[in-house]
Amino acid sequence: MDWLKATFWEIKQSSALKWFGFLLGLSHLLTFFTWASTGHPPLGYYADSAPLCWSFFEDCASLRVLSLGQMTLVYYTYPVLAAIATIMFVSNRLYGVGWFFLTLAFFFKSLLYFNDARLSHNAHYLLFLAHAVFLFAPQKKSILKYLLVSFFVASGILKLNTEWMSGVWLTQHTGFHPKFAEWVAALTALAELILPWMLVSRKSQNIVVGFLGLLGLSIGYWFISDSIGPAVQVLFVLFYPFYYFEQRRNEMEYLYQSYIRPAASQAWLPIVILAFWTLQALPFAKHVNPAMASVSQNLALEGHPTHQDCQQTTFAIFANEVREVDLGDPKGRPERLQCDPFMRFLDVKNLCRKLAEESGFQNVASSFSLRTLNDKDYRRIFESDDLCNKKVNYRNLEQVGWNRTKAD
Amino acid sequence: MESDKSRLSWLSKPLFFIYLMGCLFFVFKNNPYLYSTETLKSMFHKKQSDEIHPVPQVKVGDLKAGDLTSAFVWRMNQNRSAFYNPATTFNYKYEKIWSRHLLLDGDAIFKSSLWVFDESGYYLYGSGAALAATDTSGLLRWKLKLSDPNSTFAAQPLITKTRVFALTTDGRLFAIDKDHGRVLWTVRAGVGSRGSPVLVGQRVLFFATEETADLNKVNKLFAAYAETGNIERLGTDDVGPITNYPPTINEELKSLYVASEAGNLFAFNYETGKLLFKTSTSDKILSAVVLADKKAIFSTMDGKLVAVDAKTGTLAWETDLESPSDSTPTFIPDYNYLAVMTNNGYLQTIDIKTGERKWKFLTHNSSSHHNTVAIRLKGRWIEEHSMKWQYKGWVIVAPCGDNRLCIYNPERGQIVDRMSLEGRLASEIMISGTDFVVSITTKDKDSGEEVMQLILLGEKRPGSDKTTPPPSSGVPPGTPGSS
Repeated sequence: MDWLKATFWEIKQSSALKWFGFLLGLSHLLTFFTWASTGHPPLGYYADSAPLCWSFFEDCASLRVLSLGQMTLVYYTYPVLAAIATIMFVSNRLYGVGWFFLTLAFFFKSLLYFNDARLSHNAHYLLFLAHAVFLFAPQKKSILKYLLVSFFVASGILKLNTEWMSGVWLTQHTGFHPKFAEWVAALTALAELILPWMLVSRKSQNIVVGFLGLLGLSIGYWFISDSIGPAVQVLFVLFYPFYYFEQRRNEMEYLYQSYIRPAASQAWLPIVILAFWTLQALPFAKHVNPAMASVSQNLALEGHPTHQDCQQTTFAIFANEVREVDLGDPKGRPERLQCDPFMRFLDVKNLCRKLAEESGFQNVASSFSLRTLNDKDYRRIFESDDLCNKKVNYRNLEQVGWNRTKAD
Repeated sequence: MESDKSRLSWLSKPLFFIYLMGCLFFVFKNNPYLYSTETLKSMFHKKQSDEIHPVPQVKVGDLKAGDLTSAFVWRMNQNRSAFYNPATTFNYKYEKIWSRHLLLDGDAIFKSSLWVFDESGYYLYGSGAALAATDTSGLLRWKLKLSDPNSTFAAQPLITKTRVFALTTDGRLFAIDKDHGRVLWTVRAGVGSRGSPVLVGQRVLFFATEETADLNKVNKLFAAYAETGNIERLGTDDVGPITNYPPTINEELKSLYVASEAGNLFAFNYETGKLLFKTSTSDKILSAVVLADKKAIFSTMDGKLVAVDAKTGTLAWETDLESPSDSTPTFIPDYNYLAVMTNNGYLQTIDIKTGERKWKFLTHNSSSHHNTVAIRLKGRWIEEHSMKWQYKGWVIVAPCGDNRLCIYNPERGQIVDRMSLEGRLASEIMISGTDFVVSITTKDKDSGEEVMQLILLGEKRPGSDKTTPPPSSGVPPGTPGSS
């Protein structure tokens, strides 16, 4: 348990880390508040007999060992643990207890979050990484300093595409004039690429500019998008003033390196940062090996919601009835997943399960097409009239067609 | 302690500058229109195709020869003149062979449907977002239900040997497997549609409403390939809201006629979509367009019967009927008359050459249906009623009185015979072989509520029992083709 002692020592020595622990506790409360205000989606999805599994594990339903009642207990215990952790980190002495409760809250959140892919969000991805570093990694302060910068820069890089630069997302959410929206989009991308580096500058005025700029940007987007992402960015940005003041204090007081508990190796910093950027580079691996696609898409940050138009036509086929079904946009589904092909495919599979008990039910036929802003025409993503066949999964959809079953 | 970066500080400024330039480069690369008045979004929209694609994608080659043979043609004949096959002759004595509900074992939503039929059974429409097919004895074969309750199969479907083509009010065309009801393809041509589809060659022609960039709605002619559903925007002219009847086709002139509610008759070349002519009339057009004697004939809301040249659209004649008529005129060959019933119940005949009114007769028709049918009677009935042989026994069948169909001699308008119905007429008079099929509204004996029934009126035949309900399967007794 030496690493645990080293962890506690590191937190004890740093008020910035205690403050960050407090911020991480707040992030859990924020997460719970967001879920509570949108109809408790973790419980709603858990109550659904057919989960929408993460793409790298399509049979996640088999891992559901807790009952709905037990999961509800987990859900409502989670904010309590987070609240305790938050409060503990305010104290100078109870940081160890805070660490413990934060770890528990992290574990409970993982139980809730990984049950259903509909809960996925970039903010939670970043929070998981930040937790992993804060709770378990050595050299926390240094790593967090550059890791949080990496978060912003990665987010900025993901905005370097024509979809974001067209300003369509901003126009839809704010009503800005299209040309003004284009400029706001361009300046946002530039801000996320440039301002974070100012946070790690030696000059205080750069740090102030970077801090105020990113804070203003995050608060602005918090009002626009009303999602958890910008709120988490605000929490991350708030780490830096404490870090800065602590560094100034350390430099002035010439704090000596302790021989009882030597600092961990500086090598951890490049290792963690490199690991983060390797994860972000994974989506490009699918061009080399397509099988990587389903794995890589969940291990990297997702691109900003692109403007997508999608069309789905679905028919439920019975013995002497054909019934058109409007799968629509399920309530509470995140905006970026509205046109996600995998989600739409799982919607059809869920429909198959729901209709299986109806008399005369035979199959479901569905066609899904997608067009991004960049596309000239709609692309047919999947189309089949045998979607309820257990052998049909997302990977072999190309082999099944429509109106072929009639001829077979 | 953090590593001292002072040895690298001289590099940081140029590196940061390069990084900044790189960021600016990628920003402008992804939006080259940032400094222009054009927006990137408008550039995307300009590139986007407005092609309409059917669902699902169908491979060419599944359709066999004969699959698209029309099984039911509205107004009885291919040249849309509304007289029955002159090779078939009819009796004049008819009685009820059987009566039953439209759909014996199905949804209540089909209680008051409109219908068309062929030898395979009946196709029910007009009851909201659903279409149903029954066999000849009224048992359900299949039904198609749509998800949007505001989308209706309001217009008559097109029935061929193996397929049913149906239009919805929200602009979608469906191709349906006639035996099983499976959707072969569906395509959304616009935001709305009116009128029925019509088949010409391998294409289904129909009118659909498109929304323009400035949110105006225009109604245009479309063609969909019957096998694949691929759409062609055929006409560029806006016809406005049109009547709900099928367009009328003239294969000789390759022309398609459609009447608009604004009082315009449009004629298009159905191969190219080119507008051949547009004729404006004094008022809204109420009837479908009928073709006879190289003329296109229709009736208007101000009580006129109008005939225009079918090729040029120039006015041939216009006759005042004294009352509006929403019935489609019927041509009576050999007499060269048109028969039309006005909404106030007057059955009138008009000379097709001159437009001169020949006679009018008050039928006391109490139903809301005014369409007439022209058929030929058998030789012995011509003799019995002292009809002139030169006219080959042509008569007019029309609704009359309270709950009756009457047969009229077109020469002078006298009644040849009457057929009693057990309720108020609720459909057009349709012909099946030498029998008549109509629907009526009547009171249910048990519940007392008003119900719609289908009736077959035919020649008295041995073994038919009016009180026997139709069998649970197979063809009802007395129906042509039954054993």
